[in-house]
Amino acid sequence: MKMEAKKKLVLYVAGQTPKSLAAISNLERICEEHLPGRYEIEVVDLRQNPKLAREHDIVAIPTLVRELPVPLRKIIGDLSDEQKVLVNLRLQDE
Amino acid sequence: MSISADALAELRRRLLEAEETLRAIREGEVDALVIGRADRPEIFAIGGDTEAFRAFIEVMDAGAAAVDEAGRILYANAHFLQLLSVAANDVQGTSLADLLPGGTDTALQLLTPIPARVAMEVDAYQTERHLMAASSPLRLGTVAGHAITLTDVTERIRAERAEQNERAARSIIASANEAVLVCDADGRVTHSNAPARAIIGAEPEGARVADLLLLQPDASTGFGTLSQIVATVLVGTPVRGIEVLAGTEDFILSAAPLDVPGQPAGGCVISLFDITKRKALERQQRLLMGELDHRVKNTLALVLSISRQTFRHSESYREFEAAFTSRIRALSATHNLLARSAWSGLSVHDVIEAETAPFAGSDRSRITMDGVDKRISAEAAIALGLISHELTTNAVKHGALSSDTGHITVTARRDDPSGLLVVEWREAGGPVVVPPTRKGYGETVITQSMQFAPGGETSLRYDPAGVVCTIAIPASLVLG
Repeated sequence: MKMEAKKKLVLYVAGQTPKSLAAISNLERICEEHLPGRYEIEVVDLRQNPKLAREHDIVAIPTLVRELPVPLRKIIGDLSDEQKVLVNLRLQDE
Repeated sequence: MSISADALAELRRRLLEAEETLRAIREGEVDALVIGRADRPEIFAIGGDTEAFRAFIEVMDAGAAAVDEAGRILYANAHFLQLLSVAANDVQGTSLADLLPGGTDTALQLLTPIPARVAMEVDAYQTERHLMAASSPLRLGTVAGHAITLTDVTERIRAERAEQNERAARSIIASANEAVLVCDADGRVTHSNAPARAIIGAEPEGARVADLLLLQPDASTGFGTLSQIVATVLVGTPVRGIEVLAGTEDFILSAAPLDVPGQPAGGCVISLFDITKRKALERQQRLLMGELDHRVKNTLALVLSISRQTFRHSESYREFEAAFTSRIRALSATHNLLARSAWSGLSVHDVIEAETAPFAGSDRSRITMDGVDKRISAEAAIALGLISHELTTNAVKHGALSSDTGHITVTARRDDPSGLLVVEWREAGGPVVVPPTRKGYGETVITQSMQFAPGGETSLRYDPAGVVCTIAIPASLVLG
C-alpha cells in the first residue's frame, strides 16, 4: 500500500481583504471535504511581510501555491471554483 | 540560437501563469496585487483600502457587518458580535446563518438584492433582547455582498409594550361600572375612572386615598384608619367589604395589591361600590321597626283602656261584649285603612265613611260630607275613627239615624290663623234630643280621644234639633 505524502499548501493573502477571507474559507472547506488529513496549510499575510511574495513570485492576491508534491502549482484567485482547485491539487498524484 | 526543451517548458509555464493571473484579475477573483521593485514590494488593494472604513465601522453604535454574496462574514464590528453573544476570534469567514437566531431562514431573508429588515429575539445573559437586523446590498472592491446592521430595540419594544399595557389598563378601568382607583406604593392615586371621579368630586390623581375616603365609624372592620387598610393591601393582603364614607355617601371598599408583570410590586387597585341606597333603606327599616313597636304598644294600651272603661260602664257581660267588640271593630277598621296607606295618613272622608257606611242608606243620602278630603295623620285618624264610631252608635240608638227622616252633615274646614282642622258632625231631622242623665263611656271617648295632642279637643252639644259635635284637630296632625 502506497503511503500518500501530505500536500503542503501555502495561501498568500493580503490582510483581511474580502477575497483573502473568501480564499481562506474556501480552501479550508475544500480540503476538509476532499482531502481530510492529507494536507497542511500555511497562510502567509503579505500585508504583514510583503517581501515574502518573492519566494513564490506572487503577483496577485490571493494565490494558493502547492509546494508539495512537486512540481509546484499556483492557483490564482479566491478558490471559488471548487473543481478547478481540485484538478490542480490532485494533478499527477492520484 | 536554440532553446532547450527545459527552458521552453519553463517559458510555457510562466506564460500560463501570466495568463492565469490576468484572467483572475479580469474576473475579479483577486483584490490585491504585489507591486513595486522586487526588493521593496508593496501590497496594493484593488478597490481601495478598507482599513479606514473598518475603523469607522468599529466605533459605530450599531452592530455592523459586511458579508459576501454567500453570506460569509468578511468583517463584523465588536458591537455586532456582542449583540449576538459571539466571541471575536475566528468569526471572519463564518456563515451569517451560523450566527443569527433562526439560522438559514433569517440569513436568506437578509441576503436579498433589495434592502431587507428582520426582527429577531436573542437570549443575552439570560435576558431576552429584541434585535432588528437590516441589510443592504454592498460592493466592497471587487466583491458583491451585503452590509448588515443590528440594532438593539429591546428598550423601545418594552416601552411600546408598557405603553400598550398602560392604554389597556386605562381602558379597562374606564370601562368598569364601579368606581376604580389605582394607587402607587405610597398610597397615592395614579389612575381613576369617571365613576370614581364622580364620587370624589375632583381629580383624585396625586391625592392620598386616606385623604379622599373615611372609614365608616359604625362598621367594625378591625382597622383603625383607612391608612392602615391601604398599608395592609400594599404589603400583599387583599381586603373586601370595608364600609367607607366619601363625603356623606356610603360605599363598600374592596382593595387588592397591584400585580404588574415585570415590575416591582407596589400599589393597589381599589373598587368602590355605592351602598347609599342600601344604607338609606336600612335606616328607614330601623325607623319603621321603631315606629311599629311604638304603634303596637300604643294600640295595646288603647285596647286595654277601651276594655276597662267599657267594662266599667257596662251593666251586664252581654252589654260589655257588644260594646267592646264594636269599639275594637271600629279601631280595626281605621287600622285597615291605615295599613293600606302604609300609615301615611287618611282623609277625614275615609275615616268617617268607614264608620258610617253601614247606616248611610242605600244611596248614602243620609250622610252628607263637605270639605272632608283633608288628610290627617295616623294618630289623628285613629282618634277620629273612635269618635265617629261613638257618634254613629249614638245616632243609631237615639239620634238622626234612629228615625227614617234623620240626616247627618259632616263638614271640615281649616281655621285661620290657628291652622286647626275643625270637623263638625251635625245631626238633624231625628227625634228631639234629650241630654243623657249620666255621662257614659261613649261620651268620654268622644270628648277626650283627640286630647292626646296639644290643641286637640272635642265639644259635644245636645241641641234639641240634633247632636252637634265639633272636633278640632291640631295643625301638626293635618297633612294637607
